[in-house]
Amino acid sequence: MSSTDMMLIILIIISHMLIMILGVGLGYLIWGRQMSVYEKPGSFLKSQGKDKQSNSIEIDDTKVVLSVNTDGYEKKFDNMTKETKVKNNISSSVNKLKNMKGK
Amino acid sequence: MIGLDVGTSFIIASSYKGDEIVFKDFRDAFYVIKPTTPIASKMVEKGLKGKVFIKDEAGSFIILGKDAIEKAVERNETARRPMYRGVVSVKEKEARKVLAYILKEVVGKAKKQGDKLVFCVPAQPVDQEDDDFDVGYHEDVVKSILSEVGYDARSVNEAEALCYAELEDTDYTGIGISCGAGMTNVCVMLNGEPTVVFSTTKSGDWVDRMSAVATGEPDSVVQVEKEGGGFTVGEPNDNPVLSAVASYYDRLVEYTAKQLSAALAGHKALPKFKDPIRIVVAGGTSQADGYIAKLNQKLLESEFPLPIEVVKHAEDPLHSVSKGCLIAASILD
Repeated sequence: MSSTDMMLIILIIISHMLIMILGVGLGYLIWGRQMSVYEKPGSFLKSQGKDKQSNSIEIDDTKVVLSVNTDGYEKKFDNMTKETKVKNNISSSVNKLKNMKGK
Repeated sequence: MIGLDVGTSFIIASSYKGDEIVFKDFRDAFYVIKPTTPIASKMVEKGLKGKVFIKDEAGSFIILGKDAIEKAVERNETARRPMYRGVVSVKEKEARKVLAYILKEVVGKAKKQGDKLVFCVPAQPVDQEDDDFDVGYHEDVVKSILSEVGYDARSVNEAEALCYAELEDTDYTGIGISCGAGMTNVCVMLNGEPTVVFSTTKSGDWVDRMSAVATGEPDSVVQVEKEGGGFTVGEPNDNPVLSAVASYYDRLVEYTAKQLSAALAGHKALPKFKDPIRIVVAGGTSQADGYIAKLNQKLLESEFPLPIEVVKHAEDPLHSVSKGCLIAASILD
């Protein structure tokens, strides 16, 4: 095999790799956002609400003020909610889910 | 421990009290009156006697809950909301502060520091392509507010909470659809594991808005008429407001069914269910007469990709998500 043939083969391989990389990039640009909506969701049952998505942006609450001061409000009512009482019918759900969680 | 449904239209807390569950409902709305003179301030305060309201440092009166809607309707205006499409409203300057006040009042101070509280958050919408919607900030703000009153607050997806409350009979396998005011949230669950979650951004508020545009009435007026009932989804009505509401409800159900079918058709994460699945529907928007039957019909028409066992209403549609949050809080370590 001559050196020209070798060069040609290497050139073909490199050009194919470039085309593949471009294809992957283009696919990500077109479908990347929708894919993130369809990612498998985290389960509360397993994570217990603790896990954060690895790609989520963390907010540093020492720099960003998230707390809201409501001291300036003067309360002018006794009760603001409407209360309803029902018999506790969720014990079996809780037990079943605890078992499913592997407790 | 507390379960908390932080919704666009209702905030509902649930907790145990002996062998009962207590639900505390609060209408998520406010209306501000800014008196111009000290005499006007006294007159306004007198007029608000018996209503739920607070007074801010500037002397303005902030009427809260259903009283806010009543006052807005009285003045032919629209009550404001601290939430918009399931998250803290960025349209309302006072939203965060009012929401913080409402949340603190509804849940009260934690009995002991670090009491468990689980609140619901919406999923990412499939019908909104821009980056305007992000649940992260909303989640952090709510967590921060609740931690100020001593709770260890964690979040769960709204429709996932609904599945916990309503799918025990099917071993937590099926689909939960939570039709709130701002959004419709969907969770496909297999043996307690959410496999697909998403939301759509059209729901009860969209019906109010479109009907308000069609009839020239303020949104609050439409909302009050709508909640008074007296109409069936998709059927003609003599009252022009209810006629518009019934018509837009029909469109909403069709839109939701189409979005649901399109989002699930060919979805990579959709499990292969061996039996027809149960679809359970909850939320204030689903309480309209004929909603469930119409949804069933539209799902079949839109070639829903899974065989359906039944489309059923939750036992207590307004409280189901809060109940699911309480169940979630109860399974925490």
